[in-house]
Parts: sequence; structure tokens; C-alpha cells
Amino acid sequence: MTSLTAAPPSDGTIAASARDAHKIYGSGDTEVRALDGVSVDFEDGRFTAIMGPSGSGKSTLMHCVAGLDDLTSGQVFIGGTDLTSLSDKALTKVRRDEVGFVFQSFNLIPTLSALENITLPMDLAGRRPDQAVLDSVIDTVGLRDRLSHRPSELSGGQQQRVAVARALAGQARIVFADEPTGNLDSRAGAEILGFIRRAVDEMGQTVVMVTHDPVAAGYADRVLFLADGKIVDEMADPTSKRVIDRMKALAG
Amino acid sequence: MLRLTRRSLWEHKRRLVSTIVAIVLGVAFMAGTFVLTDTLDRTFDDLFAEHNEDVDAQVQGDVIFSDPFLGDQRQLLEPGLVGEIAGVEGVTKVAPFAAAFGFGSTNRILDAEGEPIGAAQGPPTLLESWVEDPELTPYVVAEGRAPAADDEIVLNVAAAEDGELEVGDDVTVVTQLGRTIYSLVGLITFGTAESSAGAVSVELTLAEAQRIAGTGDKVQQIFAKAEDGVSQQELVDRIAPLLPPTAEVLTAEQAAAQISSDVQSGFEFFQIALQVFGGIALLVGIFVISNTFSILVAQRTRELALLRAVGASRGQVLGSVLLEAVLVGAVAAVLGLVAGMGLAKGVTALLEASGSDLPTTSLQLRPATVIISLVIGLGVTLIAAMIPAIRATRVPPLAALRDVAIDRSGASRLRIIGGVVVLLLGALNLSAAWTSDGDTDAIPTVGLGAVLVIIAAIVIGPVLAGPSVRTLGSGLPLLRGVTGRLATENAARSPKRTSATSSALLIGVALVGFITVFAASAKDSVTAEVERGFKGDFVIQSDAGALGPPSGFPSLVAEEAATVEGVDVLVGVGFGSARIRYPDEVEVTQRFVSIEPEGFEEVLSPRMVEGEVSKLTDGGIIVDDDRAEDHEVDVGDTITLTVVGGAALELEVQGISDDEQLLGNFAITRTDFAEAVPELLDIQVFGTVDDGADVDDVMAAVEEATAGTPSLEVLDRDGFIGDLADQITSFVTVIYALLVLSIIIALIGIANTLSLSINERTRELGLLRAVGMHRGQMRATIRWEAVLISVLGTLVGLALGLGLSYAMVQALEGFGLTKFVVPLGSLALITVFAALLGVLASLRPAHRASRLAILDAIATS
Ligand SMILES: Nc1ncnc2c1ncn2[C@@H]1O[C@H](COP(=O)(O)OP(=O)(O)OP(=O)(O)O)[C@@H](O)[C@H]1O
Ligand SMILES: [Mg+2]
Repeated sequence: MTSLTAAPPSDGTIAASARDAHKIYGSGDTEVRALDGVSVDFEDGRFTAIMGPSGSGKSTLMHCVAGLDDLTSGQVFIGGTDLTSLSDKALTKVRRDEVGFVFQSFNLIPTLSALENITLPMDLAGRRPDQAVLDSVIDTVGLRDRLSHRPSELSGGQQQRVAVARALAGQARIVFADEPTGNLDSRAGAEILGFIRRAVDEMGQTVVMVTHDPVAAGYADRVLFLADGKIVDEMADPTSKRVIDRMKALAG
Repeated sequence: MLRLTRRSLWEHKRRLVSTIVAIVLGVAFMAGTFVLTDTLDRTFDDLFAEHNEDVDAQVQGDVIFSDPFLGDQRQLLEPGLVGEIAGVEGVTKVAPFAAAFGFGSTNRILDAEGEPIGAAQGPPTLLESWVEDPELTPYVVAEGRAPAADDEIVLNVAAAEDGELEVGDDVTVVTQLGRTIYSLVGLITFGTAESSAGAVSVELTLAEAQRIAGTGDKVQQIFAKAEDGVSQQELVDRIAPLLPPTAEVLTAEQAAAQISSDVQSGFEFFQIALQVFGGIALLVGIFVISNTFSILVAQRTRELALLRAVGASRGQVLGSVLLEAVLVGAVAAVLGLVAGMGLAKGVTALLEASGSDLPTTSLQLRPATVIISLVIGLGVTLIAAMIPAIRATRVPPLAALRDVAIDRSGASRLRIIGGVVVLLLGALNLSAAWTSDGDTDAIPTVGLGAVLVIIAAIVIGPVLAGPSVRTLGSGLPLLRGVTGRLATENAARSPKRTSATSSALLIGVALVGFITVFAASAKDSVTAEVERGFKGDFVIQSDAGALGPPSGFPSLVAEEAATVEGVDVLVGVGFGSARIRYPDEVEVTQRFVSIEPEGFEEVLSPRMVEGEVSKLTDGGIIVDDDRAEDHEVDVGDTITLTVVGGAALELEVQGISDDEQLLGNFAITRTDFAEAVPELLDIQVFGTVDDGADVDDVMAAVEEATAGTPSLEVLDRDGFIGDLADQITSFVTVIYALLVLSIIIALIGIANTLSLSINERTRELGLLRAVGMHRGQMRATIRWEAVLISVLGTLVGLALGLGLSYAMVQALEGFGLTKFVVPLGSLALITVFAALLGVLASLRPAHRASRLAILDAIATS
């Protein structure tokens, strides 16, 4: 497990990483170690899935690496930038320009159309979207005829597709997805995962995805297993069957 | 249920605090007015009770008419009556009394530097006959002695100090008879106070007081004291048979009550004005409170539905919301009452500081004030909460299972129909403005129309709020990118809420707009009228300003000015009130002017319907055409004027005028007027200069020649016109100041709505921050939303104000409002100001929104 050895990310092939990350909630009796010394690298162009039991710290890890939350101790980097030392303003800029997000639900601003939601980070930056990329993303997720709709006029699956399109359209260095298929049926879920996989393969997009679903994890290039705030295992080129087996082994 | 209410109150305490502030301000204004009034009432009651302490009976003439500024004008008493009353069994002491009332340029006493003592406005100067007997006068000689000769006077201690005068000094008094120098022989106190409520008390011999008051040998009042064992009522009963039918006798108590109510009625206008503005503030408060409760209820839809699902009845739900309102209202009403007392205390302190030496009476908090304040505070809150509470009872239990949708409704058919009906009714009433023919009858109808149109705007508001906000904000995205877009959509997303929020501002702004446009029109109309009517080069008038009573000055001024080299024609215009009897026997109290027919038209150009001003002779009168029409007056008819002092003039109608600016309702000759009234006062003296003379030089010389009369100003044409415009401006400024309160409440409303909306949008805001909106952009989004809401309210308000003042100007065309002016600059300024106030209102909510923890927002998913 090379990724567990602590060395600062040196070359351009690491999109994001964490070094000895600790996140502690509360203190004394109520202390919870949500992250308990996690070190991990996310390489460019790879699709990583994070799995683990509920409460193991998956979301916390993702939030911290993505610059949505700060660590109690340790460091996180995105593209070589140490996030732990950044001001709110600089951190916001990193999220806007370097990071894409897909959440489990409530991904979209209800007052904006699908297209406006997709281009939102670029609009906030005052940047023109790259039209070719935008077109290819929209076509990939199949939303061409839904662009002027408001989120309330879209199905749950369509809403998630818009969210994925938003995360991809800005050509972010890394995209984080927290149970992006958690609220969808298996067919819609499979579609979303297919889009993400294509983005990794065709555009070289880096993706980190938290999931409970071994089938979803099967789309990834590698799977990290978390328990009690620690990375306890890792699997390369997973299939859903191998993931299920490994989870059984870890639980037992 | 009670626990739930308490919990809910606690959770929303911050919102409710702003709600409370809205009610507190309104109630404070109301309660403050009541407390102040009661306190002043009490003060004056005490003062006049003291004044009449040892007088058992007071005899005075009947009221001839009541002047709005000078109060009751009474018949005079024959001097022989004094001896007759002295002879009544049981009377131990009698004193006759005469006095003249001074302010502005007349009946003032000058200090060592020649400046009048006391303010031009405020407590008057009283030139009174000295009452020898200490039991019949409230005054006590503190230094020196009482006036014994006609060239001796006595002053109250405070006035002497004020004027740096000492016993033995020569003192100049300016009356309508001219300037007289007296020798100051003594100082007096009012009881133990150094002044009587700040008034300047000047004591003279009876003969001198009679001369100045112009009563001849007659007196105005007679005071009597009874011997021990004779009650006030017994004394009054014994005196009454001696009196002529034009006189009355009162017990001391009655007299004190009468005089005190006279003085208090002077405050009535002030009181009513304060209460009207307090009422407007409360009305605006209703919107703010109602909106707050609506949003709170909307946000609790799930909770309420869950309650219903687990078995709470509609009544219990209604009860829980209303109970919340009762608690909030009660707290606010009590705080408002306390704040009101503070306000009253502040005003009395201010009065004290400004030199009106009122005896200190503690603040008067009557039970009625407490009850009214509580009822108003509670009532307003309950009325405001009623609709949201009823809406809460309609929440179906199933709503607990559904996602809470934001209320996007607005365009219900009922609302549109209702709004349009009210609008039509309003328009119908407003149309009276065009059909009215120059009398005041149309004004209440037009006012009702105005109120109806504003109500219609508020009813239809939610229907139009969405599209209007989108139109207003359509340029924002170009300017501000996606933040502008979000701001517009956020303001448009719940039209009811946006509309209610901006309605609160709309009311205040509509009034501001109305006043602004109306004042601009009035200014232009007056300017045009003066430019047409005034041909002269300069004007002499009192500098007392527009807000006090019209202030006259002695005719001596005109005489002095006439001697100045370079002055060509000079005409003095006097001003008075009289009881008028028309040929049709109708009697009214009206103001009239006195003029010098000769030369009048060389300086002024009055509009006449019939007859000529220069042909007006003594014994004649010119009547305004509207009055003439109302009472079918024709040239040749006889009109009777009963003037101050009781003299009646039978006058022949010699002309019909159409110029209330210059000739008022009635115009008579100066000679007639001088004969009829004790005080011949000019209100303005108009003049022209000789050909070739320099106006400025002549004016300087006139100023010099008339310098002996205080509080005068000499203005050239531009100055005179500017002065009229300034008077309108200062009046408008006062109204603006009073409207500020309702605008503040409206701003609280905007801040409140924004805060509540932000609570609702926590997730959305978190998401925006997650995908890269920085804090500045977040604040900008909220700020622009506030600006859109306030600009919407302002524009609609201004549009209404503009329309209403147009109607009002039409209605008042007959009163010389001939111009309608839209002061675009001022209106633009008001809009910019409102936008800035919107920014101000958004500061706290925007700050809070930008500080939201991103994860809290996301974690709720
Ligand atoms: N704001 C917080 N305050 C206190 N404890 C928290 C907070 N957020 C998370 N935790 C705790 O940290 C631990 C990790 O939480 P996290 O949300 O990362 O788990 P997770 O692996 O994403 O679980 P799930 O699969 O249920 O989403 C849990 O024990 C949780 O209770
Ligand atoms: Mg999680």
C-alpha cells in the first residue's frame, strides 16, 4: 500500500491528497474521532470509490479533502496547494475552480434552469464555459432537451444528471461525489455511474466517490475501505463481487 | 400546546424581536402622545388653578368668535360694572383687568440690545394691568414695587434676566401704537416661579393696559373675592343679575377649566398630527407582523401537519399560533408604553430646555393610556396574525408527509377580482377631483379614493410582484452576473411575501411621494401666482415663519418706511378675523384683509370678477367669488362684520374678487378696520421704488428706518418668492420627519423577511458556497434581493403618490393650485435613497447568510 506512506505530493500526477488527517468532534466522553490519521493520494485520471460502514468517516474525509470542512490536525492538498492554510476566500476559489461536487440530493438551485445550474461555478467565477466541453458534457448526460427546465420540473435521475454535468463541465481537477446514486433506482443509478466512468476514460477526469453500493464501487479503478476513521484496506480494479467478498471479510 | 408555543417563541426569538420592535415603535408613538398630552393638560390645569387661586368669581364678556390662533374673542365690560360688583353683598375685593397678547412683531418688550425678549414662536408676551390686591393676582412682587404711574412697568424675574434688565432701567415696549419707553420699577414672580410657563409677563397700570389693548375705558375681566362663609357659587349667583346679556360670570374653578382648555386646544393639531403618524406607523407594522407570522407558519407547515396527524384539532392549532401572537403583542405593548413614557419625558425635557418654564408635573399615566396602548399593541398583533393563523389551521395532516413547498401562489382569481373592484371604487372617488368646482367638499372623497387605490395596490400586489421584480431585475444579470440573476429569482420566488414586504414600504413612500409632488406643485403655483400678482419691488413682513400664527406688526412700520427716500408707492395689507353675517343670515368666522384701495393696484394686480379695487370706499367690502356664490351675494348687498372688541360694521358689497392670495375672502378699507379694531396691524407692506432708485439701497434704508420694530424682514421680489417656497419646504420637512418612523418599520420588515427566507434557504445557500460562491457574492445576492424589494415598493409607492397628488392638485385648482409639477430629481433621489435603505436592511441578513456553515447546510440533506 504505497499510498499509506507519508510523503508530500510532489509531482503533477496527484490531484488531491491527505496527510495524517485527524478530525475530532466533541471532547471528553463525547469525543468522536471521525478521521483518525488518514493519509491518501488521489491520482490524476483515476476513479476512486470510498466504502465503509455508516459512521466510519467517509463523508468527513470527502468534505475535508474537498475544502468544505477543516481538519483538527494534518494536511490536505489539492493540486499541490495546502488547503489547511487557506483563507475562506482562497478556499472558495479552489472549490469553484478545481473541485466539482455531486451530493446525494438537493444538488441544484431551484430558481435556476438546468443549464444555469450546470454553468453556475463558471458564472460565479465570471468565466465563459468552454463551449465544446459543455456541449460534449450535455450530450453525454443526454440533457439537451431539458436545459431550460427548472429542477422542480426534472425527475430525480435527471436532477442527478444535471449535477454530474455541473461537476464535469468546469473541467475541475477533481470531482467528489457523496452517494450520488443513493436516492436513485438501479437503472438511473447505472446511467449516472456510466457517465462518470466515461468522463474518467474519455476526458481523464479524476473522481472520488463515496458509496455503500458494491455495484457502484465496481465502476471505480480502486476502492478504499474505511472503518472508525482509518483506511483499513484498499482494492485495485474492483468488481462488485470482489467488493462484496472483501466487505464480508472486513465485517467478519 | 402551551409548551409548543413557548418552544416556538424561543426558537424564533430573533425574528420576533424585530416584530416586537415594529409594534413597540408604533405604540410608543401613540402612548407618548397620550402621556405628553395628559402631562401638559395637568401642567396647565395646575398652572391656571394657581392663577385663580384666591379669585372666587370671574366676570367676562361673551365669546364673539373664536380665532384659530388667538383663541376666543370676547365682548368688553363697561367700567361701571366694577363698582356695582363691589357693592354686592359678600364681595370683599374687586379688581378690573385688561391685557394684550404679544408675539412676532407686536406687543414685544425689547432687551438692552433692542432685541425682543422671548422666542418669536412659543410662549407669548402678556401685557397686563397690574392687580393691586395680592389675593386677586398670582404675581408676587419680588423686587422694587408695583407700577404706579402710566410710564412704569414691572417684569417677571425670568424675562428681566433674559433681557439683562434691572430695576431702574429704561425699557422699550413695541405695541401697535408704536414704541414707548417705560421705567422698570419692579420684578415679580408667578407664585414662586420665575415665569408663568415661560411667558413674558409685563405689568402696567390699568389705564396703560387699556390703552395698549385698545379697550378704551372698558375692561376685559373683573375678578372678585368673597368674604368667608360665602361660597364661590353663591357669589356667582349674586353677581349674575347685575350683568348685561353679553357677559357671564364663572366660579374660579370654571374659569380655570375654561382657560386651561383654551390653551390645550392650541395643542390639538399637534396631537392629532402625532397620532395620525403613529397610526400610519402601526398600519405599516401590521404588514411587517403579518408577514413574519406568515413565514413562520409556512416554515412550520410540517410541524403543524404532524400535530394535526397525531390528533391536534384545528382549534388547538389556531390557539397555538394566536397565543404566540398574544404573548408577542403583550410584551411589545408594554415595552411600547414604557418607551412612550420615555418619549414624553424627552419632549418635556426638551420643552424645559427651550425655556418654557413649565411647573414640573410628573408624567401623567392615566389608566386609559395604559388600556389603549395595550389594546392597540395586542389588537394590531392579533389582527396581523389572524390570517396566518387561519392558514395554519388549513394545513392538512398529509402535508407532514410531503415535502414543504414554498408558497408560490399569488394570483388567485378572488384576489384579482377583489383588487380590481377596489381599484375601480377608488378611481370613482378620485374622479370627484375633476368634477369639483373650487370648494373643499371634494377633498374627503378624493382622500377616500386615495386610500382605496392604495388598498387595491396592496391586494393586487402578489399578482404583479413576480413579473414586476423580474422586469426590474432584468438588467441585473448583465451588471452583476449570476448573483444578480439569483437575487432577482429569489425576490420573485414567493410573490406574496415579496409583495407584503414591499407593501409596508409602499405606504410610507406613497405618502412621501404625494407630499413631494404636491409641495412641488404648490411651490410652482404659489410662485406663479405671486409673480403675476405682485408688481412691486419689495415687501416688509414678519420673519416668524410659516408654522406659527400669522404675525402682524404696527402700522407705524408702514409710516416709517414711507418716509424713506426712493420709496414710491407703499401699501399695507392688514389681516384679521371677524364674525361675518351674509345677506342670507348665515354667520361664520372668517379671515379678511384690510387694504388701501389707493395705490393698491400699482403694486399688486388682483383678479376681479366685478368692480375695481381702487373704487373700494369706506363702508364698502369686496367679497371672494366662491363665498359670493355660496351665499348668493351680489354687489349692493350688505354684509355685517363683527370684529375683535365687539364692534359691528355694516358694509356694502362693492366688488367681487377672484384672488384669495391678495384679497382673501373679504377685503375692507384700512380706515374702516382701524376704526373698528383696537389693534391695527399689518401683515405685509408692499412697496415700489422710484424710477432710477436702486432697490437694494432703498431696502437697506427701509430696514434701517423700521429697525425699531423687532422680528421684521425686508425682502425683494426674489426673496419674497423664495421665502414662500421656503415655508412650503419647512412644512414638508416636518412631514418627512414624521414619516420616517413608518419607513423604519418597513425596513425592519424587509430585514425580517430576508432573515426568515435565508433560514428557509439554508441548504441552497450551503450548496452555493460549496460550488464556489464566495462570501462577498453571497452578501451581494441578498443585498440585491433587498434592493429589488425596496425599489419595487418605492416605485409603486411613488407612482401612487404621483397619481394621488395629481388628483389632489386638480381638486384644489380653485384654491390657486394651478400647476402640476413632477419633481423628477426628487423622485429619483427618493428611489436611490430607498435602494440604499434596502441595502441597509440587508446588512445583517446578508452577513448571517455569508457566515452560514457550509456543512450544516449540506448535512441536512
Ligand atoms: N457535526 C458533527 N458533530 C459531531 N459528530 C459528527 C459530526 N459530523 C459527523 N460526526 C460523526 O463523525 C463520524 C463520521 O461521520 P460521517 O458522516 O463521515 O460518516 P459516514 O461514513 O459518511 O456515514 P454514512 O454512511 O452514514 O453517511 C460519525 O460517528 C458521526 O456521528
Ligand atoms: Mg456519509
